[in-house]
Amino acid sequence: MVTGHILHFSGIASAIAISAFSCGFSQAQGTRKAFDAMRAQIAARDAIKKNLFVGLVMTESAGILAILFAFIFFFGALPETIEQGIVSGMLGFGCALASMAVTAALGAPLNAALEATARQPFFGSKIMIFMILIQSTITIPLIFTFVVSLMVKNLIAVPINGYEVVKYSSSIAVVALSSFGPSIGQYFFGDAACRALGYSKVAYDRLFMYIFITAAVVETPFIFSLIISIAMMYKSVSVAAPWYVVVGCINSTICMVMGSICSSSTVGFIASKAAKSTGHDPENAPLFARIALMAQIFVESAAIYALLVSLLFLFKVE
Amino acid sequence: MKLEIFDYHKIFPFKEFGLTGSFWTVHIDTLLFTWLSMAVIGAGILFMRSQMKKKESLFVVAGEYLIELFVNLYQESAGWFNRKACGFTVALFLFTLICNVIALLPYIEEPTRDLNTTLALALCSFFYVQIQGVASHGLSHFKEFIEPIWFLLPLNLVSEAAKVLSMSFRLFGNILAGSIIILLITQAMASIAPYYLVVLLSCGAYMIIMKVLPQTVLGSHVINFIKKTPMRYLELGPKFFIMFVVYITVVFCCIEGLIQAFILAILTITYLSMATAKEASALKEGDRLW
Repeated sequence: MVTGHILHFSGIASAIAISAFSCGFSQAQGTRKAFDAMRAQIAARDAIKKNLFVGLVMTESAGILAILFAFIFFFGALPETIEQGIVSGMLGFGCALASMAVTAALGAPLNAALEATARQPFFGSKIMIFMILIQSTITIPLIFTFVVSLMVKNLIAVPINGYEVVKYSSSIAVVALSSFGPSIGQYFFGDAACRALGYSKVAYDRLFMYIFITAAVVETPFIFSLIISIAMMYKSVSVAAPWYVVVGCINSTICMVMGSICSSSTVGFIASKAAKSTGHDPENAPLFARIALMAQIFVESAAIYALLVSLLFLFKVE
Repeated sequence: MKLEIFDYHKIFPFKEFGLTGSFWTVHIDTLLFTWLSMAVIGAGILFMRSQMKKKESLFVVAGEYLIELFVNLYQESAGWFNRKACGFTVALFLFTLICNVIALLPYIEEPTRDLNTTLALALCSFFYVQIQGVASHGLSHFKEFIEPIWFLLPLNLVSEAAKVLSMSFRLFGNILAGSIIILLITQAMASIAPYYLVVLLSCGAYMIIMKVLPQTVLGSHVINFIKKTPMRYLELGPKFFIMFVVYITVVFCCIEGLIQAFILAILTITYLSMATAKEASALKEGDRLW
C-alpha cells in the first residue's frame, strides 16, 4: 500500500516539476527575445510589451493545466492497491511528458512574433492574433492528455488486475508520447508563420486560412492516437485471458506512437516551408498552399496505416 | 460510463434465408442518416432550381459564385477542365460535407463515422478514376500498372489499394475522433449531447439580446443597472460555456468536416489528372470551356 502511495505522489511531483521547468525556460526565452526586439526597434516597444505579456500568459496556461492536474490528484482518492498506484504514477508521468512537449513548442511562436513585431511596428495587433491562434492550437494535445488521464482515473477507482495495469498505462502512454509529434510540427510552423508576417504584411490574409488547415492536418495523427487510447481503455481484459493480449496493447502503443510522431512533425516541417515561401512571395501563396497540402496528405498516409495496424493489434489479438 | 465507439444498430433483412453474415448486415443508423443527408442535398438543389429562374436573387449570385469557385479550383489543380469530372468531384465534395456536418442536428450522427460509408466513397472515386482513364487512353491505361518493369505489378496493385485505404480511413478516423471528442466534452460540461441546435440558437438569441437591448431606453437602464451590481459576473458563466461549446462544435464538426471533404475532393482531382494526364495536349475545345 505504501509503495502505491509513493508512486502516486511521485507522479504528481514529476508532472508539476517538469512542467514548471519547461514553462519557465520557455518564458525566459521569450523575455530574452523581447529585449533583443526592443533593441532592434525601440519605436515598437509598446506593441512588443503587449505581445510579450499575451504570449507569456498563453505559455503559462499550459503550466496551469499541470497545476490543476496536480490538485485533482493530490486531493482525490488515494490508491489502495499497488496496481492502482502504478497506473496513477503513469498518469502523472504522462501528463509531465505532454506538458514538456507542449510548453517547449509554445515558446517558438512567441519568439518569432516578437521579432516580427520589431520588423513591423504598426502591425503588432495582427501579429498577436496570429500568435494566439497558433499557441491555442498547440495546447490541444495537452488538454486531451489531461482528459484521458481523468478518464483513466475514474476507471481505476475499482480494483484492477495486472493485465489492466499494462492496458491503462499503454492508454496514457499513447497520447502522452504522441503529443510530441504535433508539438515538434507546430514548433517549426509557428516559428515560420509568425516570422513570415515580419517579411510581408500581405502574408496575413494569405496565411490566415492556412493556419486552420495546417492545424487540422498536423493534429490528425494525434487524434488517431486519441482513438487508439480510448478504444484501448474500454477494451475488456479478464484475468483468464492469455498473456499475449498485453503484448497486443504494447505493440499497438509502439506502432501508433512511432507513426504519429514521425508523420506529425514532418507535416509541420512541410507547412513551415510553405509559410516561409508565402512570407517572401505572397503573390503565389495559393500555389504554395496547394502543393504543401498535397505533400502533407501523402505524408499523413503513414499515420493512417499506423492507425490501421494498431486497431488490428488491439481487436484481433485476443 | 461505456463509450460505444464501434457499436451500430444492426438489422438482418435476409434473416429468413439464413443469411446473417457480416456482408448481409445493414447498419440502420448509417443508412437512415445517409438518406437524410441525400434528402437535404435534394431539397437544396430543388430550392436552387426554383431560385435560378429568377433574374435577380441573392441565391443566384451565391450559387454562381460557388460554382465559379469549384471550377477555378478544378482548373488550377488539374490543369484543364472537364465538365463531367468536375461535376463528379463537386458532388463527392458536397455529399461528404453534408454527411460530416449533419450531426449538428439533434439525435443524428454522422454517416461518415461508419467505415462502410467512407469505403464506398473511396471506391466510387477509385472506380471513376479508372473508368476515366480507360475512356481517355483505352486499354493502354492499364499499362501503367506494369510501368517501369513487369514484375512490379504486385507493388503497383498494392499502392493502388493503399490509395483507397488511406482515403477511406482518413475520413473515417477524423470524423469518428471528432464525434468522440464532442461527446466527451459535452458529457463533461453537461448532458446536452442531443441539444446542440438548441444551444447554438440560444447562443444566437443571447448575442442578439445583448446587442439590441441596450439600444432601447428602458433596456439600456436595465443593462446599466445590472452592470453596476455584482450581477455582471453572472453573465460570464453562460458566455464562457456557450463560447466553449460553440468553439468545440465549430472546430471539430464544421471545420474538420469541411477540410476532410475538401481533401477527399482534391485527392480525387489529383488522381484523375494523373490518370488522364497524357491527353491534356490533345484536348477538345469544349473541354476547356464550360
